[in-house]
Amino acid sequence: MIGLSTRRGVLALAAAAVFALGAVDLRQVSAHEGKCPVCKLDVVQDTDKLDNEVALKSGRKRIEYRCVACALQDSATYGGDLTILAPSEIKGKPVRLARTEGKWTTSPESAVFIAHRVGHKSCQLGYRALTTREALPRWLQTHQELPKDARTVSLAALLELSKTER
Amino acid sequence: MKHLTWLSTLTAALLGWTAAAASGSPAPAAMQVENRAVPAVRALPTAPPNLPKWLSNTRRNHIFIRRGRYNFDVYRIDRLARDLNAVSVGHAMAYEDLVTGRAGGLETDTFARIDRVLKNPPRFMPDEAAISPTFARTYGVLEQVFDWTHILHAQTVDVLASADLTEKQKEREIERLWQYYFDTVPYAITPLPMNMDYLYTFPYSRKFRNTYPKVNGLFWGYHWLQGAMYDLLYRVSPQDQQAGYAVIGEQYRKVELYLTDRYFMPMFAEVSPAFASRFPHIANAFDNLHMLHDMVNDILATEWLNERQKAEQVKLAIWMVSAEAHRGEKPGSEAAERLHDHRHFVGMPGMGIMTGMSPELMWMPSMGWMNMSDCHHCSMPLWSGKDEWRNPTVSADGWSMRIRCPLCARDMSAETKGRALLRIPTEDPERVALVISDEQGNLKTSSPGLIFIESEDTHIGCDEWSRAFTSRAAFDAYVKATPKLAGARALTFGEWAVKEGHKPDTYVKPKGPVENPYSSIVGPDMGKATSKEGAQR
Repeated sequence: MIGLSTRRGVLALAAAAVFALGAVDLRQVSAHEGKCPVCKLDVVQDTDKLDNEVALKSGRKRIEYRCVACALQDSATYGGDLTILAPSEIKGKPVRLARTEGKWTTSPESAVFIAHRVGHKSCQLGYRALTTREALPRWLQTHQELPKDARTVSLAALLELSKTER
Repeated sequence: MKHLTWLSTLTAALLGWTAAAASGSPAPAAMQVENRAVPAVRALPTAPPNLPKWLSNTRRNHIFIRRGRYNFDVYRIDRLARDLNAVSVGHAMAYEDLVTGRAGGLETDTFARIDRVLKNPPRFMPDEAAISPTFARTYGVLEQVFDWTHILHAQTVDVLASADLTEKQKEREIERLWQYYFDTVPYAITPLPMNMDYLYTFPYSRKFRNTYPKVNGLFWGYHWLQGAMYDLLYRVSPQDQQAGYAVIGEQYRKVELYLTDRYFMPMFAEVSPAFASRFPHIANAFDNLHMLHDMVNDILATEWLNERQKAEQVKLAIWMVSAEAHRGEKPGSEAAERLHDHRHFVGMPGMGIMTGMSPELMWMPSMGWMNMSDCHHCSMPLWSGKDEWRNPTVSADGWSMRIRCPLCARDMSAETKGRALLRIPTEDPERVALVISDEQGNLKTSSPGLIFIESEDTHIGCDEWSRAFTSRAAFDAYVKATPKLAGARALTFGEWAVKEGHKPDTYVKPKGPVENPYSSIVGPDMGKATSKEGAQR
């Protein structure tokens, strides 16, 4: 086993190097990479080019899910107002879903959702927020695991779907 | 040693059987099982010669508790005491039905009867032998082994629940109780970490879990409570113990009792890591006792064993986890014969190695792979040795994790769904602040006057810049003694509770050899089912 002081030294150097490269994103994100509370699979981590982590905020809680459908399904178990940050097709620009006094809205308002029935192995791609309907063709072009005729649905339709989806 | 002789015999027999199987010849006579319905690939272990006489004792030896002014102090937390009373009834009812030809009703009638008791727990601890007279008559020694360790369970909990003893007195008394348990009668379970994979891969293993998932879920729920209650009580003030059980008890009654999708029984250190790291010998004994429960359940549920074979296998199971079978062996030692593999996880001497895991990496269904010697929030090394008590813990969603600093504990609880308990040590080893998080992540504590320091920086130093104190004077003394923290602000509990740290710069997610180490031993239908009566996690 590496001794405590040695490990500290190694980690200090590594952390310094990461900071120096400017690769650390200090926005508030979950520390530990856990399992999705709904589908029990790993929450797929963000990459340099694409965000994947879906976050539900309720009070001070910030819970991560594997896909927006999982988060929406689980939102029924939370009381009160909440928001869901759903990664979109644009890195760093999530779609914000808000439930206020039981009423759901999205920001931007133009947001739509791909809701293609896929196994949870790739649900972070099959259930995905898009900032506009126009983003669909490019999304399908770059994600060939989805069928070419995949369609988008509204938030209301996704909410209904998430009640039965498993 | 005597057991080496029979293990050699067993190994030789198994090798012979394997060779025979490969050549298409019948199994060696020593390994043949009388019942023709036995699946062809199964071979049972055989008992060593010269087993100790006490294993064949048929007399009823009732053993009573050691005298102590703390006895029955668990009733100070009345609902916990009642829940534990109901556990005894549940155990006894299931065993009696298993051995009286009523196993067919276990998942229906028996489950319903037990569930009624669990929902209406008795005021007093029952005599299990009175509820399961046939079981006690048939497996008398086993009943006494169970009872003897249950007494240790009960008395250690009484000590922890005492409102009169200091924390130091409690620790001393727990050690005394352990010695009394270990030295007085031969029924003691070994305090060594055992290889759980070995104990869970016999021909009969998992039979009870697969055949009676709901009743097995209850058993594992009981074992969850019997482990989880320790960190709830350990070094926590009497007032906080009450408040904490409101959270833990609800988790037990609403969720843990009814889970049928566990791969393995709850391990003590998974639910009470602070107590397990302080008293690893006791944590191991309780895990080994619970494993004995599982082995016995599986044996009794195996229809291709006749009554004589069941009695023989039960006796063998007792022997395998008995202290006597492992005299002179040391924790941490590895042996080619897995019965005597006493390795434990690095940083957690109170937990034996489990299926598909190594001392360096442990796996939990809801958490994935982890290193037990590192903080689960920032990956930095936990406090260890004489400073081990300084590790906070977070308990939520059925698990408990050791954490390195108050910030890590607070932020980890905010990233976990549902209510949570945070045990935050202060500068005083006798005072652990219990912080309760509600469903929304709002934190409250009944510990008055807490002061925090949180000068957030790289998590390499979070053990220094994030701490809790019992008073402003203690905070000032610490800052004075730590020049690099000069000028740090003293935060009240209310100020600290609403802060939110950055993602730790040191976090590294450990990667295990496979996604799920149990996938190699479980069938396709395992890990999916849940009891209708209960809630799914």
